[in-house]
Amino acid sequence: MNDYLAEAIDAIEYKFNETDTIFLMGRIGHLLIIKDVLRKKGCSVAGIIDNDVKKQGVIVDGLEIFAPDTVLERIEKSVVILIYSPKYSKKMVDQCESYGLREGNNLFVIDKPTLERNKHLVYVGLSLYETLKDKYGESVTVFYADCPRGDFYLLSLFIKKYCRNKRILDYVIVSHSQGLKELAESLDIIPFEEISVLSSRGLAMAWCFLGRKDINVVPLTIWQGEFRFNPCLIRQSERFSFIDTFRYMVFGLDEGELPLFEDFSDDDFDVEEYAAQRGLPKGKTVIISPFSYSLQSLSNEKWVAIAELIKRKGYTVAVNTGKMGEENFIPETISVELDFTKIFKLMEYSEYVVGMRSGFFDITCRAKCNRVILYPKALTKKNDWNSTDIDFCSLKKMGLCEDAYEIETDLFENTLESIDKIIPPVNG
Amino acid sequence: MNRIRKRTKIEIGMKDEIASLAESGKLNNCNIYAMGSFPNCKRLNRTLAKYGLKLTAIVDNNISKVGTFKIPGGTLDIIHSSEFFERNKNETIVLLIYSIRFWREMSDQMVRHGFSEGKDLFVLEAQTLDKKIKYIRRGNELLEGFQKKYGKDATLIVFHGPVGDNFFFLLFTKAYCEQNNITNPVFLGITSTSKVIEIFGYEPYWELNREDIVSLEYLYGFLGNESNIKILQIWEFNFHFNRCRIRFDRRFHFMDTYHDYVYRLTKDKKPQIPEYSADNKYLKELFAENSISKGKTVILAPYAYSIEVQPDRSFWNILAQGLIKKGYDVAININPKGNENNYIRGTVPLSFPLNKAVPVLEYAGAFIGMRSGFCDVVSTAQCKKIVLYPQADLTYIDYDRHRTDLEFSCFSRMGLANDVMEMEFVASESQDYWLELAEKILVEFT
Repeated sequence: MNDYLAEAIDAIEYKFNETDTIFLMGRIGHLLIIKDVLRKKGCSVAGIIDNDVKKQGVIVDGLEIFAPDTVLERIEKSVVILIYSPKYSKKMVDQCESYGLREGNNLFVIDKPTLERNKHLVYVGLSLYETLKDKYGESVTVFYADCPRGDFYLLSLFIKKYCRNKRILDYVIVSHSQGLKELAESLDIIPFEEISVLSSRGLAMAWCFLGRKDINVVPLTIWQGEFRFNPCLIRQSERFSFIDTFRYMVFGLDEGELPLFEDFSDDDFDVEEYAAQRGLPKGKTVIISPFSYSLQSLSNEKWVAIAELIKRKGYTVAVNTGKMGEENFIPETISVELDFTKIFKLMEYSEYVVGMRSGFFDITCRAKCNRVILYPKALTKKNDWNSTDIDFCSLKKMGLCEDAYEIETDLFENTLESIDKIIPPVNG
Repeated sequence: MNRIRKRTKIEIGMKDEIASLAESGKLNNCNIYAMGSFPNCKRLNRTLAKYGLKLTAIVDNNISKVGTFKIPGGTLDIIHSSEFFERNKNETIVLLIYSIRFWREMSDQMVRHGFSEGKDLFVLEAQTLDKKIKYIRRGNELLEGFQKKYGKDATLIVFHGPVGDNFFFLLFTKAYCEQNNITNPVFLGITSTSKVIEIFGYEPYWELNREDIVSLEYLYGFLGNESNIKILQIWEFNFHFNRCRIRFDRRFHFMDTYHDYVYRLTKDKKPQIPEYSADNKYLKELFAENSISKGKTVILAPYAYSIEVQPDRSFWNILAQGLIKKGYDVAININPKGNENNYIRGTVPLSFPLNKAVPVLEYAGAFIGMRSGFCDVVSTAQCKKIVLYPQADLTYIDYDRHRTDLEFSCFSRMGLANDVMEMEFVASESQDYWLELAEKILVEFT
């Protein structure tokens, strides 16, 4: 991603200099990369602008997050706004221009789709496609999956059936998303090729331009921002759940098609020994999974409070930090860093698993355990691209498991009270 | 009406392509077969006739479609591809492929069986890469032109499709613009849009030709949402990627396509039903000129282009005669500029602009028609309304195509009107069936 964004910043028709006061708008993860790219150019970023009031005032990696009014109402000559958001850049530009900024003047969109940029991407995509055909055969079907791990798991539930229906014998899955290769291998959805961000964008663009008739690419995650167009808004209707997106929109299967669950747990993993080594007693362990990448998790303090509540009931609390390098911020808990094939077993060993709705719960939906899953409060104004509402992605509504306690978090006191009622004291 | 100056055409078009082939002699001394949808093949056969040529048969990979297809003046055979390959061993054959959706698959199949494009295989109106590039460039010129005229913040709202679809788009356009804070919309459409948009009075409006609209669709497909283009008919075949299967699911009806799929409106947003002013002078004159009576006229609308299965013509004749016997005047709604003609005995051909349709029907008193875009426009008319639908096999829904069945597009389910009598019919060769159907309707008229 660094290289891709660096190239995109270089393509902007503006000469950055160290006296510029630069503010960024977009997804924080990407903006931190942009900040580093600019630093290498000798420029520093003054801050981030974000409409989300919950984020305003927070400092991330040395950058303060400001409300739009704070920055945009008093624009000085040296101020430059950079936007990077495949999904929302147009809205952000409109917002900035309402304060008097002008795109191309002191307002720029990084990686803005233009005829030239997209033409270049088509060539990049075609080049990758030819390479894949050379490697996997002329008749290979290329499945393009740019998505988080949870979505990839949901794709895996139907892809084999889809291939059987379409008589697809040779395929390869490509993605630039992190962490998918290992998951793909666990799920036996192979071969899987990791590609660069540029190649990924190129393949998406080539497909947009050419279509399936000229390029045997099947985009599996067509609602992702890279496709930049109507992601089928009806799929978020209250009459549908997220699993329908995969069943109908992606794979074109019928209502009767059930997901194909594979058991990918590691049978050789001695969970009892592992637990004993880590000090996780049988019958008295609760796993907390606080990390969520697709949606806003609770603040660290709130997770600490939840952990404290559970510990007061006599449980030992383990925190799932996964394999993504997360840091365990909850004191007096035990970190567990297991891949999915093993965490599965640990979940079945534990009494409860409590966490924020995330891909983790999709992937481990078949583990036989008590789950307490927290969802953010439903938005009154729906997001065009996806929904994290309990109505849309409840595991139960999706038919992924039947034994989850699913709580919509509103007031934190209510959330704590619900958890308190669900989890009894040890030996209680 | 704003219009753009004509430009060099990107598409040659089927008719010109056939003219060129006929002139070149490539269609002489051979049996001509076609692959494509039945309406396409019917059009193709009509065009070939101008050169003294005709189709021998339609080739279809779907064995259930084998049989005959009615065309004016006779029938056309439909044969399975396996039989076609057998015939190819003994006949001199030219195959014409005329299918926007499947031309590439069909062409690939035939090439694998030894056909050679340009020699004994011709793909009509194929979407080549060269054409796509031309479309994108044209679209960009149009976009820049409109932005120069109306400002960089102008949002082009692009209409396409038949009358009914345009009507539904328009029901929610205002709500969409309000919800998304679009303050500088420019409305672009085709002929069918022009007929309907005047009912709503949205401006500025430009009527473009089909190629210009397609250019904007291709440009949007290439640039995405940041292009300031809002494509309404997002299920167009130009958008190979958006053949959304979900909207045809049985949980949804046709109005959801517009409210949720096209516009993503919040629940509180309702359709903006236009108000029609009754121009009594116009109505009196129209009825007097055609010798039909206020309150005792039944307007028939037998033409519906989206529907493949249609009632036998005898049905309309039986119905009309029955109504006349009961003392009603019967008029048939036709488009004077189209190929529609009045084949129903004892009826009066009646034409009126769409923006007068509701007052005309209310003045007449009753309407009976095939489910069509016209029905969408007049659904709220205060008169007796009877609408016919082909019976559909809902165990098999072609999610890539269209749904015209009652479950999907009935007015009550769509929330448009609760006073429409909606009936299904089957394609039947039995005259008794059509007699019975007509009688079921005639019972409603005293």
